[in-house]
Amino acid sequence: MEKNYLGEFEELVLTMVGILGEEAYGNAIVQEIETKLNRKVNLSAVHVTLYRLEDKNLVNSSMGGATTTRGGRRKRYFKITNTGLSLLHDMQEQRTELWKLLPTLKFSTI
Amino acid sequence: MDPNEVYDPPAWAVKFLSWFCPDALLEGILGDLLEEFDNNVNNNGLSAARRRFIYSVFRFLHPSIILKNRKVIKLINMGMLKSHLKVAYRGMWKYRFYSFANLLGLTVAFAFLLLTSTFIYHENSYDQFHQKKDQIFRLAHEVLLKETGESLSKSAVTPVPLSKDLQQEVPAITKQSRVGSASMTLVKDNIPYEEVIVFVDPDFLGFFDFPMDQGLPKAALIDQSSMVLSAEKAQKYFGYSDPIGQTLSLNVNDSLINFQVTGIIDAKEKESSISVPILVNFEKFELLVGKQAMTSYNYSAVENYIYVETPQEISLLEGSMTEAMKKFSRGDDTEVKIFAQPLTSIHLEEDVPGTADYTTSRKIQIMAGLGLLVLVIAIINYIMLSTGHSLNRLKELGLRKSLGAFKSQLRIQLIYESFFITILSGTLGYVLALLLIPLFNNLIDSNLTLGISAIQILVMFLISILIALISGGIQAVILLKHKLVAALKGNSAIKNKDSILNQGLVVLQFAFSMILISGTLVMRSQLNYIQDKNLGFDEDRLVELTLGNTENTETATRLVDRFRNEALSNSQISSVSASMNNASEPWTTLGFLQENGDTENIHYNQIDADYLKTMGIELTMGTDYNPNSGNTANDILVNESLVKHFGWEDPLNQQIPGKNFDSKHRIIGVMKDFHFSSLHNEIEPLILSINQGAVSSGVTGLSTYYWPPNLYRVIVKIGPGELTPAVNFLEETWKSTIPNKQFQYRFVDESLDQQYAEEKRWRKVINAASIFALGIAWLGLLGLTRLSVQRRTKEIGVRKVLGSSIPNVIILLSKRFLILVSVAVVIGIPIAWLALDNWLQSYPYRIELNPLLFILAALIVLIVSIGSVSLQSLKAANANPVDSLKCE
Repeated sequence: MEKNYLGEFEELVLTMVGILGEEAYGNAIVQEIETKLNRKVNLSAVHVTLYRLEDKNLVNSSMGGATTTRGGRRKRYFKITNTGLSLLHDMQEQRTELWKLLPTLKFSTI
Repeated sequence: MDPNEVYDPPAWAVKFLSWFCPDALLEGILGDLLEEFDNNVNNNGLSAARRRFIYSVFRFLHPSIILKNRKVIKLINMGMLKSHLKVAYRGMWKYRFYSFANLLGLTVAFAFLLLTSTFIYHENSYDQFHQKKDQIFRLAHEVLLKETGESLSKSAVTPVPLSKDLQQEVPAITKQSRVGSASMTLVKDNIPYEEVIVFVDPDFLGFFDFPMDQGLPKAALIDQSSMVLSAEKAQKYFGYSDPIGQTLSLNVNDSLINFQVTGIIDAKEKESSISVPILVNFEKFELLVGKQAMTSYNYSAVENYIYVETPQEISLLEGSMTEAMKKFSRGDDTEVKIFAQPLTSIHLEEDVPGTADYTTSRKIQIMAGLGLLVLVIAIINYIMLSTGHSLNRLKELGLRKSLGAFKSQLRIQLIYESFFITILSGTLGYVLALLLIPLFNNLIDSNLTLGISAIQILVMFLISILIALISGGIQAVILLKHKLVAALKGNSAIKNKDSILNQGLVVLQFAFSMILISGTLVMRSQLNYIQDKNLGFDEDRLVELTLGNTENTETATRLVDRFRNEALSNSQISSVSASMNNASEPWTTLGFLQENGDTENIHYNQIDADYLKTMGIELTMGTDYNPNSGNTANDILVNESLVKHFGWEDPLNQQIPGKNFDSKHRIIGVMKDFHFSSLHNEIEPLILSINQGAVSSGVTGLSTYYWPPNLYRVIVKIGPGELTPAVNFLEETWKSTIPNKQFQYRFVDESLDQQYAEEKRWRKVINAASIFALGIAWLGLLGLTRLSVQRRTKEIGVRKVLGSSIPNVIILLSKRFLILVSVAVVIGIPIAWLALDNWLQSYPYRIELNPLLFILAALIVLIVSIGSVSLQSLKAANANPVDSLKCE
């Protein structure tokens, strides 16, 4: 059966691509992670992960229009695919199942 | 920070990123990086942003980025490389002459470098096969005078009991072995063979790692009658049958002692300083040197090797060994200092050698020097030719430039082309070296093989890259200086003058050639001088026959007499004699301790009554031995040098001075000085006597190849007539009179010649080097002239039209080069003079440096260069000016 899980960082980046929708490119993801989770990540790590996700067909990418900043370079936008979205759903469900099995925290008397 | 200002990240980092990053990803990544950079400039300042940028770029150096969409890493642009190679190939084909000259020069130099480096590598690889090589040391001793601290002798040939006694005293020495060797008669099936027998302690094979084909290293020599053979000797005596357990005998004093073969070793000839053809237990050494020498510290006869557990503390050990030696010293006025030589250094130990095979560091330096010299000449050549020649290509480069090539691309193209040629000639050089190695081995009397070691390939590769970078770089600098696009118009400003660089290089090349050629000439005449020098005795038609060990002088004399009586029946044999020492090895030195504590060292040879007559040695005073005069026991002969040394007016009434003399001797004659050792040494004081007892009471020290004093060889003077029947007759006579000894003969003039074999070899090597050097330099000059002639074709045409004569044109073209070569000669002569004068100082008998030799060398260089220059000029001068003026 096909692998239906991702590494933690892969999952994080994939989620971010989903959240950012039309505006998902390398730098935006780095900043989004920083503002939402207060976690500093390296640009190259994000890029490497994005290409890996692309190879797995969980995201696809396309070049945007010309820009005036960034030395005139175009942005590479990433978009989550249906496969990617359903994988995220699957992982969410699996995790919920597992959560249910976790014993409820009880205070024991001393 | 001013937000409107535009800041740039480090350009090299951007370049680097674009180099390794796949094109498909580059834009997106670089854009993100720049965006991040801009943010950082605003938040953290420019320098922090730059640092961050560089860091991020390196973070992208990640396999999943680099390898994205690729099967191979494109470290270099394969497409362009292919194009460069193709252009290089076409260029080479178009200018075949230059390509040939370049390739030939470099190929020869690479081959020469490979051969010399193989030689040097081999010399440095001696004794490396012993696993515990770092823990093995050879002991050497220095005998010092107690009072003054003056050094009397220093040698690695040491007394027999040394290492054994020291092992008892110094616990750090866990194993030891003596190594003593002697030439002896080995007997198999009643047939005698002369062999070198090596006596070692049973531990020897335990800590030296001579690989054993058969037998056990630790046990093979424990038994006193055991014998270990090298594979070569086993093959010689037993062929393909199993040698283990077989019997061989040694003839010691005319009685046979049996040995059982217990092991076969690989003797690692040419890899081991210690020669081990046939090994026997050291206890048997006593048969040879007598009981006294086995425990005496008065005689140095063997090499002592020790094995220690803690080699790092060897200097401490030297101290404690020297301390321990006080117990064993002779107790006279001398003290002995012991020092240890690491096994791996003894092959290059020339100051304090032992009996092990060694080489001089000078030899290695000369070899390395020659290899580098030839390489440098070839590189110079290559640079000159390729830069000169590349000016022809200005048009091509101009076209490339106008079609959009960057200067850096042109530079890289030039370097690639150089690299192509150097790699090609490196490969060809290797092939050439493979072809030449038998010749080279012949030249230096060696047995080298050319292995393809990774290091050698790497070094060759690095040298190729270096040459390519240098020559390609120089070409680039020179060419790109010109206005390339202007070259397209056809009126490029190529100057006719050669650059200062080229002129300097020509001078350097020919100065080197000059030095090498005068070296060859001077070595040749020194060698001729040595070989033709009158030795003071007549070495022609003199034959030495090996008698070997006999019981004592009486036995030897009886055998010699028996042989002489038979031999003299043939009228062609004019005289027969016998002596202790032979023509090729150094003669015995006896030390006589003086009253004042000094030691007088005097050479000695035991002879018989016919010696002077047979050798043709003249007397200046007194008489020769007279066989009829009865008691000659105390009579000795001395040479003029001895008389001069002691400053005697009336030598016939004198005694050799010495503290320990307890009997009188009589000097019956003084011989004219003759060269009993090679001409590397001056003639030193010498005593000859029939009976060694005449001076033996005064002897306190000794260094010798043969011991005890006895007659070890028969000397025969053959009269006029064919030599072959005379030698055959001698062999028959030998077999009928001395049947239990092998008949071995050598002509004295040949073995004397052997003493200069080393010089002859070196002369050949330098000869070859100078031919290589001059040849390459000649090729270079030829190329340069040709270039300059080509460039001036039109000028020559104009000159001829205006009435210039052919000789005028030739002079015009040749003058500049000949001036350069003359400058080289003028620079080369004093350097060669100094170097050769220094070399000649090592010979006590030497030629005066003759200016004629240097003039001759200069003439050779000049003629060769005139030859190459004027040939080209003549061709240009003879050409029809119409053709050259027409061509555009």
